[in-house]
Amino acid sequence: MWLGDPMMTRPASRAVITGIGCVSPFGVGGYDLVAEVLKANVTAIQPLAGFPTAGLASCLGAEVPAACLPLTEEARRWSRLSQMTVLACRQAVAEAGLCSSAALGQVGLVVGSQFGDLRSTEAFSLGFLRKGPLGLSPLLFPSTVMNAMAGMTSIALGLKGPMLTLNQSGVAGELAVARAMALLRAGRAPAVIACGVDELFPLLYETLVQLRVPSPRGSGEEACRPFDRRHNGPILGEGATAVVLELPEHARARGAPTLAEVRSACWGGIPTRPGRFPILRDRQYPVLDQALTDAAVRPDDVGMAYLSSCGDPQHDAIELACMAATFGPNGPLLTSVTHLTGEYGGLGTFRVAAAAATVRQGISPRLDYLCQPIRTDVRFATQPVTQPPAVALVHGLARGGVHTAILVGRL
Amino acid sequence: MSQRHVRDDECRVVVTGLGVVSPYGRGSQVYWQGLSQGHCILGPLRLFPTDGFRSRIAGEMSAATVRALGTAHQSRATRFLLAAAQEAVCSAGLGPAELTTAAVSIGGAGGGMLEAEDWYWARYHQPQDTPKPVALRSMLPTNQTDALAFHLRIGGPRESPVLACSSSAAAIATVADLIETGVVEVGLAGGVDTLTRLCFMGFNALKLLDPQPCRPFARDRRGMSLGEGAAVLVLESWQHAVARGAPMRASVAGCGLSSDAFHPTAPPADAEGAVRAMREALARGHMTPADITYVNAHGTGTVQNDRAEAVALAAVFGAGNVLVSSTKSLIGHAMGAAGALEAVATILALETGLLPPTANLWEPDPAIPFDCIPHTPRPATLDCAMSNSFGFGGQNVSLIFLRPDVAG
Repeated sequence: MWLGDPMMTRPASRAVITGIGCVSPFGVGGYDLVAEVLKANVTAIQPLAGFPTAGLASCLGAEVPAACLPLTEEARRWSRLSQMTVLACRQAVAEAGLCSSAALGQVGLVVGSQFGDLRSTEAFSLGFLRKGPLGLSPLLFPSTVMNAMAGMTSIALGLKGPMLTLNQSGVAGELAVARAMALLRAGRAPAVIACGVDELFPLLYETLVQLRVPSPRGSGEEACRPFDRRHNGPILGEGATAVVLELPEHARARGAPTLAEVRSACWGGIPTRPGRFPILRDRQYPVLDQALTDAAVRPDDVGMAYLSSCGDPQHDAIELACMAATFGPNGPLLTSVTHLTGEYGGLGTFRVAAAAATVRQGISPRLDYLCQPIRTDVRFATQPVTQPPAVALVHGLARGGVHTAILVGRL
Repeated sequence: MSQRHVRDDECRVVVTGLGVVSPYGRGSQVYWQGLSQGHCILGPLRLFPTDGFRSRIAGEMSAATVRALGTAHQSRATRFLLAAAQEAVCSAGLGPAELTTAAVSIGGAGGGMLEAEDWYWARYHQPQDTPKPVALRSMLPTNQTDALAFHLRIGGPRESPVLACSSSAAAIATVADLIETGVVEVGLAGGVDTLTRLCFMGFNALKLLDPQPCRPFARDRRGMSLGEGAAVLVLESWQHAVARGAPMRASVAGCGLSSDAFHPTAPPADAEGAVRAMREALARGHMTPADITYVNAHGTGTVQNDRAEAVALAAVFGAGNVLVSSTKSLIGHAMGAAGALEAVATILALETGLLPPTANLWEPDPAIPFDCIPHTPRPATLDCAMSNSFGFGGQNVSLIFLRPDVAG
């Protein structure tokens, strides 16, 4: 049981990132993989190979290759989504140098996911629909509960601190980071892993296509083009990214590697009808303002902003309006990762990892498809940055109105 | 009485409003009336077919109560949650201004899965059916939280924690954290879950449901009974509550969160994770075990869980040193909503000085060395009480509530 540092006189408001783990369409790795993905700026989006899409209006996605997932005896007991979660978290704690069972026993875990393990839910239900009560698999049922990925990860890694799973559309990854920061602030653990995870699977893909969620909506080519006039919906992706957040003094005391600093993480909600994007009126961005205040950062100090927009025309418009109102025409370079990774609810932790690479090494993704931006009063990251910004913003806005702002700074 | 008074008033989180929808009906008074009379409401499950299953009973809301709760376009879970939240906000006397910056955290496990099941079952039999977006949206627990935030215009931090059976207890703990650390002054915390085919089939497949109404802590217990409902608590900083003259129902003295890191569905024999959660709650409340008079147990009625919880209680409090009961024996296990429903029961026990009983406990298990308050409620003088919630995945949450006049 870790009950806080007795030397700490006020709640911690900052944390350092000491490790990153990523299971992605680009492969499995840590900080270096994320940096390479951003630097290469090559998309993982391609025609789906994992399941047939014949007869559907969409056929593209960004899939995690089967070869990336472990084939160990231990992993065979886990669902595919749990495999991705465990693998990402294991990579992150290894990079953070959190190896001993004593150290891991104090670590907390927050998993953010939009859909959870619907694959297992469907498989479990099909057992009944095909064969009645005798067709039900008791082994599958635990995976149908959305906290299964967190449970499996805590067992695999020996994490005994607080463990939360947050369900959230669009910004589940950002929310995992914000909640992990809140756990640190409350003195519930000296280090917390924030992991965003979601997966593609046939029923979900087919249903979302039938609901006209992904590109191409209406006419036009199927593509992911956030902020461009040709945007016509997101391309769906999958993956898991884990970020180890740690109290600075704890990381210092154990000589941990530090990649970047999370200076503030705020979240709030704009009351919005479920499933819809919020309608933002002038200067109604208390979350963003609070994040800047908490971090003691002026808007001018923010050099790059990773947005959650993924090519949904309404989403793109609302988030850019928020940026324009907050930062003005000389604000940060705006960028996205969804043209590389595809879009999924847990992607926000990848954006935080990317922001760490941006402030540390000046690496960032380039929106080289962007030839007809929907706004001209903001700046987009279409070229490589010349020097690392001191601070990068990871901004999220979701259907239903949850709003997040995370400021990642150079150490 | 130990050192709990060292905790400054300014740091306290108080409960100023309660709202409940339970199988007894709508409202916390109806809920308390049922619990305090020891009325076991478990009966035949009528919401969906149960042919061929080992257990066919549950704590189900009456159709008339559900009809009266909301409109047909809302999911069953949303109806439950909005009704509970309205009662909580009303009883706290919270106005729109306070809600603008309030946090909201609603735990659940199944969300609106019932409606998604309707869609999926129909789709299975008629594959060409067009998907119904409402059914799919409501499937995710976040949808109920979003609906509540929209309905009450709540603008602060919003979360939908999913920790299986400890979801809503965790919601209470994490909102209390946000208030203690000064992020917000007010928050709504609670949970909602409805009966679903998935959950019913799953626990039947695991052979964890008792064909008879569940018998927690009994020698012949054979599993749990499912239930449904919603409960919402208004949490507030002590200063904020005093400034607006809010009714103080209880203080949140301490919360503990821990993980077993042991097994997806079973607790370790030594219940080490549960012990840590309880001890953390005590430590954060500056309390000793002797301060706790009553524990509202997780008490599911499964052989393993009850035994493990008894081991944990004995390790923390010493055998027989605390009164224990399981209100799941009265209304069933409401999954993600259970923690909040039991938190409300614990607070109402503190308020009334009456401990709700454990129903169906005809033959106590001698391996459980506690007075589990069989059948009839027990008058008691108590200042502090604990509520335990333990979920699949090894997720443990312990909450300690304190009578508001004690530490004031």
